[in-house]
Amino acid sequence: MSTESPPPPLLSVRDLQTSFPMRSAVLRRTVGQIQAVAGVSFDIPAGGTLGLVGESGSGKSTVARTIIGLEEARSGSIVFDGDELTSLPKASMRRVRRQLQMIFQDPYASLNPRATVEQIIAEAWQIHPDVVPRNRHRAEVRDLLERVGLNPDHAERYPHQFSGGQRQRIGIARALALRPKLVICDEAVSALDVSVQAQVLNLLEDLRRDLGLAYLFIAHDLSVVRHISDRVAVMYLGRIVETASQDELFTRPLHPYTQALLSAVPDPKPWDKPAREQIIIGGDVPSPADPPSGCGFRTRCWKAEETCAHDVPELTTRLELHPAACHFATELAGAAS
Amino acid sequence: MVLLSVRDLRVEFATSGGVVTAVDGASFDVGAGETVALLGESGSGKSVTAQAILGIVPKPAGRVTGGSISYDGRDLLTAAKGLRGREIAMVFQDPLSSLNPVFRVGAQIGEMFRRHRGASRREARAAALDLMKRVGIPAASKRLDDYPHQFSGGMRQRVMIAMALALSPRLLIADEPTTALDVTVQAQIMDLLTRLQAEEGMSLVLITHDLGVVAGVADRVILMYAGRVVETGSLREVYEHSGHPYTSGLMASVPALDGPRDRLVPIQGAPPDLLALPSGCSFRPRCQYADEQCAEAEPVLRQLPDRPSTHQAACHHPEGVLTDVH
Amino acid sequence: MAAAVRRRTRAGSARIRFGFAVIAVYVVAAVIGPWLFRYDPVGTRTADRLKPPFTRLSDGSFAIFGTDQVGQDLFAQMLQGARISIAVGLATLVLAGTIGVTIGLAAGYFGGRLDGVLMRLADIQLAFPSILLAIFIAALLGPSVVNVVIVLAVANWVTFARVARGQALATRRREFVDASRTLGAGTWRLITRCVLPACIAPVLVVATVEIGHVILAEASLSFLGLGTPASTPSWGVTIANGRNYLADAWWISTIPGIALAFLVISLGVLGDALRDRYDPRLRSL
Repeated sequence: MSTESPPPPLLSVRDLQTSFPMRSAVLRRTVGQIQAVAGVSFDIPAGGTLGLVGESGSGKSTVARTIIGLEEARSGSIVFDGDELTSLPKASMRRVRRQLQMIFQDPYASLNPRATVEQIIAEAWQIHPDVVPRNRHRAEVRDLLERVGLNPDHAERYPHQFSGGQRQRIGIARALALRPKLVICDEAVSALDVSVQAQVLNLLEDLRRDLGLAYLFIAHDLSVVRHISDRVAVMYLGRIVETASQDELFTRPLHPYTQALLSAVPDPKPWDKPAREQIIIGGDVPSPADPPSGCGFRTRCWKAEETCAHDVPELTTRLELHPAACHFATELAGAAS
Repeated sequence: MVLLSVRDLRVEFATSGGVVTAVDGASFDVGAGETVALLGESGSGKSVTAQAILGIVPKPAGRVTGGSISYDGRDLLTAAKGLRGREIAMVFQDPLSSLNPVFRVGAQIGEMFRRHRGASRREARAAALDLMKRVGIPAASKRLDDYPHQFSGGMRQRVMIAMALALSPRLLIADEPTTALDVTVQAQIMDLLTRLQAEEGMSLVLITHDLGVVAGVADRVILMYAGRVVETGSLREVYEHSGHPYTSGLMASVPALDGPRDRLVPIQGAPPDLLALPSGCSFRPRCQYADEQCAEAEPVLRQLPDRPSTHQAACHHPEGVLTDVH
Repeated sequence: MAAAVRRRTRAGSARIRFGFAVIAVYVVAAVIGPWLFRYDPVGTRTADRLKPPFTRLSDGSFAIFGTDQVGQDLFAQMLQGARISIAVGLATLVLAGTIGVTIGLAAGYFGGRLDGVLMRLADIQLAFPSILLAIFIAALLGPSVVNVVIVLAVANWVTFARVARGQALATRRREFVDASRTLGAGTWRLITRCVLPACIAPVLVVATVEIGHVILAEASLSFLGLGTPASTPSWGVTIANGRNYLADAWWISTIPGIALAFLVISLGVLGDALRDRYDPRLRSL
């Protein structure tokens, strides 16, 4: 590590909270708030990839949607390339948005079925006419299609004429149209067949290398996240419970939830390794509408004690270890090694 | 002993683009008490095969146009409607749409006993409670009177499994039973299925696209591509000594959870378009070994050189695949 | 898997062809008919009063549908009436559709309080008998073709609003709309580029079903004297005129009645078939 102060991160999220109103069934009156994201902080350096892992209800997609502006943050700060997004006026937001793009999960739902590929990709330039002049649209669309591995002659086709993997490439081309610095991939390969998923992962890696992109890579598939990320953060019930470099997290998980999650991933060649003890945690993720007191994971945790019900464990470094939000992180680290 | 035997099964679907052959001459056996994985990606025909076994191919678009399915010596295609639901049960991917939303869960499980066994209301309720306990639903006696929407995804799948087990089937077909579930819950359900399979001694057919999910569970795999069986054998044999380029391609496409992070080697091209399949081998356009022979003749399943006789692949060039990969 | 290869079979081709053919005949008759068979609204020829169908008249012309109480040729009168009925129907749909789709889009897209207010307005509209409304407006504004269109549009916008609102609700949270949002698209662009196009097909289907109702309603209003003025011979006016002569000149009311019924039925058949093909979800409407 160098002693000079590192450059400021491209994206810096601090104590982000996003909540949704909870309405009563009959009168639709707001009766409370669901804390989908309950205080999340992380940084992404330029050109870096943060993998955000979690199961359904963890709030990982809400984090993405809040950063990109599809949901409103209740509190906290999102600093992107020096601009504070939560307090940015609308006009400046449009300028910043260009640098911040998203690839969606569902390659069928995320493309307008009534528009051609060219219209879908060029829409970005109609909204931001200064990026590419009108007479260059066609040529730029062809360039982008080529870059994402599609036939440029297919620009006049409609989404339904493509396979799922090809559609996801169209979605990637659209995200690249405004020449972003950060691309949020929200379960961007989850809906694809395994054989196609690998193609798209390779494409994302190539684009990162060629264009210097940074990714916020959100997924529930741990092996995919491990493959593409520099750093990984694990979310549970709206909070990050553990964060570390990819290598650290997968070899020395500290949080019991991370350990259980890793243990639950089925191994395609279990006979290659010494028999590992599988941790199967019981129960389901509690509803974010009614989270447990103290540590969110305590209802399913085999280490839980009295103190877990009272104190929310902080995501801090304990001893020389990477940050994990567990009261017993040091103990678990000892047991793991 | 062979419990289920599928021979040259052909299922066709009428679509606006023409008739597609979703299953094209698939043959395989499932032994009594055996766990078999039916693997494949979209368009492989794995789910349609299951529908044909259960006699629930969607009509009038779909039709079984050839082959035979025999169960315990009886022909499933022509008769034996009573076997389904009683001796052969199924668990679906989406438990919410498979359960009736307006009836209480206990009553839906109990209905199986009332209809097939003529149980009284009270007996059915007691039996339903037993089953719910067996599939690990906590506080089962309280949850008997809940509606499906009050259950989480994992619990709903347990309810579906309870219903499937109600009549002690000898064959359970699970179509992507954990695909809609989170990974920690998936582990629970797979654990439950294997435990119940061992307790009941039933045969289990696991249909999935996920190579990993079945790895520690299935004895044998049947791998399908574009409606055909392309490779079959014991799971470890197929995974470690893949004889079909599609199988080895799938194995190379999955990122590992440990070891070096090498660049993935994906299968080229797109999944098969059933309306425009190539001549000969359907995998040919995506295959690095393809030559003229592959365009002319459709490969049949045959034993691989120097491998056990149960390990078969439908490829003209398995030697190349075996040496390149291993 | 099955879902990938199974597609909807084309539903109702025969019904659609039948519906379009009948409607085409009516439209052609309405457009070019009055050029070929002149109709003079103030003319009277007492010699040719109440002649039955297939009569040669005093001027040598042939009255295929007979004549009415003032000696007018019924066929020419019906051609003129077809023009009015179809024109009123189309104008009403355009007006009701524009109002309804605008309100429905606003309610569905913005939701919240605006949605509540607009949809309560629709409920009130539906609860209020449209014939009463028509009498009220006709009394206030006097009978005229324009007023008929206004009355019918007010009575019919709700259906369009409901369909548009449903589509807007379904579309506004779709991923491709979110994708446009992340590109920086504004509200106007999202509504006109993403939500409105999704409404067009179902709105057209609804319009086909509705136009039959509207033409029928126009005839009813005119029959009651609340619609087009007597000098404008819409079908309703002609049927009303024949009412006093039913005993000895049945054809004056009956033939336009049959023509009206046949058109409305054809439109209904076509609308149902289009709905089945393009939007089975609308079946409840």
